Amino acid sequence: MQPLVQIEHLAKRYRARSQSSRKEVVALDDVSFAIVSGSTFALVGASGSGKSTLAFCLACLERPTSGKIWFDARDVTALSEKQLRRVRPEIQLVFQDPALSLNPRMMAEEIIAEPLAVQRRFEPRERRERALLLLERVGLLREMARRCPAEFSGGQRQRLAISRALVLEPKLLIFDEALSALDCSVQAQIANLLLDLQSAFGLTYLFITHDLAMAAHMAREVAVMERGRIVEQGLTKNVLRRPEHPATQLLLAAAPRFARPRTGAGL
Amino acid sequence: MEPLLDIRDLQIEYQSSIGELCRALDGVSLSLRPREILGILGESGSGKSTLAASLLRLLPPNGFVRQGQILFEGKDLLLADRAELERIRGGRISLIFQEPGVALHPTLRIGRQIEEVLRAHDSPDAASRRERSQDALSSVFSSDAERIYSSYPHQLSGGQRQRAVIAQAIACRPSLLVADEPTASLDPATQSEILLLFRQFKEQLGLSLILITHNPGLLAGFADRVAVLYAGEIVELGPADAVLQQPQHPYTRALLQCMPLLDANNGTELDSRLPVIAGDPPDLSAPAGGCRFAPRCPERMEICTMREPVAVQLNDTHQVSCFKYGG
Repeated sequence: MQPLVQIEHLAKRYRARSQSSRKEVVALDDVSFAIVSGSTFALVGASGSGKSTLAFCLACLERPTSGKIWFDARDVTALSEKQLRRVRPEIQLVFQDPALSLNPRMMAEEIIAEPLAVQRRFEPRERRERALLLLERVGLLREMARRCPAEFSGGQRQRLAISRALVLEPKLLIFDEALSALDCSVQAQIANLLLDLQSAFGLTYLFITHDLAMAAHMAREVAVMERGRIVEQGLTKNVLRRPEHPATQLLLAAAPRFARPRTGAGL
Repeated sequence: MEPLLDIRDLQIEYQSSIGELCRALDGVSLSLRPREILGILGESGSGKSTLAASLLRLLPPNGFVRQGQILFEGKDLLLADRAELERIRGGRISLIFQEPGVALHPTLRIGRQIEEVLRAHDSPDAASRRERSQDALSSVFSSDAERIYSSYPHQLSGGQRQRAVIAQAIACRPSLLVADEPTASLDPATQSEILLLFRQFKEQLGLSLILITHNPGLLAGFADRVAVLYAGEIVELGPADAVLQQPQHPYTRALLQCMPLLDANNGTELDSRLPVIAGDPPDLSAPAGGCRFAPRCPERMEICTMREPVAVQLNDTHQVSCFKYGG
């Protein structure tokens, strides 16, 4: 079966606009991988390794310098801007800071319904109903529908951002460090929610993180990035069991691995 | 040995604009020895940032200390006058926050910023200030110190900015460093480097550190002792290994179980659901009687909703506030 996403030799270079140099910054260099439909693919790496640039290219928000991106059997790198506008709703981003997607002056139900309005789908009443259903689907309450983002906790705001990302019924969700800023107990709740939503809606995820333990928990496959290149990739359990590249080993060294507490100890 | 810092029964409240009182810290007692790393493990709403701010009397205008003492080197900081406080802030106790941007002036070069701190404290002349500033940077940047000295904050990466803040914090050789989520915005490799720096300062400069974080992984193998903060109270306190590997309080256990961990083979259960702590932290403006964690506690007993538990010593070094152990 064809993968939902196929990335081939992707490269992205920026011309540095500083007064001292006219150098090029190589953000992505010959990146290739594929994501199977309905699965989760993790992208790990240190800050500046190119993960977010890749996310933006995949979401069709940046044009790569060269290479191809196949999404649902279409070469999106060859599409015109007008054609891209029809593809973008199928790929949604969830960021580390939900404030980036939540208008602080809008109510929750408006925030979730807004993409439908922009895309001119359905009548206002149906948009509102779909928004309310999604609100509940992500674990929030209907009573919260008329609250503004400031009245939600960090974890709740992230749930709100996720429900907004789902309203256009995308095929692919890209999570860019979406759990990193949350408390540990909240991370667990949201991770569970993402897994539930994935099986309910048949979603495909690209999960970008520097938390290897979370990547191992969520993703079947992983790619490790360093300075714009993929230095190691494969099934998560294999990459972690026998890491070959120093970048992977470094990330592993920083992952917590203390023994799980035994319940009943000390009683 | 007299503790470096001795917090006794600290209670801090915030007053909302409509007069509601919220008790953010309710009787916190902690002590810290010289050359000790104390980890404070707490999630949002636990009161950890209030604790950090209170140590240097940096509470916002609507926050006030209802009772308690903060004894530093034997003297109560809550009774210190303004001159004394200014001497201590940055000079004897330094604070580091999650966002380095908060502590760095955007239009001053890094070296100059550190010299400003030195000038405010005790450095007599420009030449010695420059030297101490460069020393501070060298102790934090193994190779780039000269370049960083002449750089502006925006020319540095996140990790470099945080290191610059740390250099600024230790420039006056304080005896206590308080770091509130100092590595939260940094990637794991940089996190490890920063922790290593802290450990070096403990050993070489005799510094004590209070590291406040919601991430237990940061404290494992790093902190000497760990205090677990929940809803304004310390629910467990003991040696780091004991608290993190054999937690006694139901909240500590539940919190540690939420984390996806890599096992000995660097594996984990794919697609399984992580255990979660049901419910949300309590509303501290309207505390129900009884143990604060009771509504969410999987081991709740009847007494838990009726009275608040007191700290019980499990042994010389480990205490827990939970009716399962008496109290």
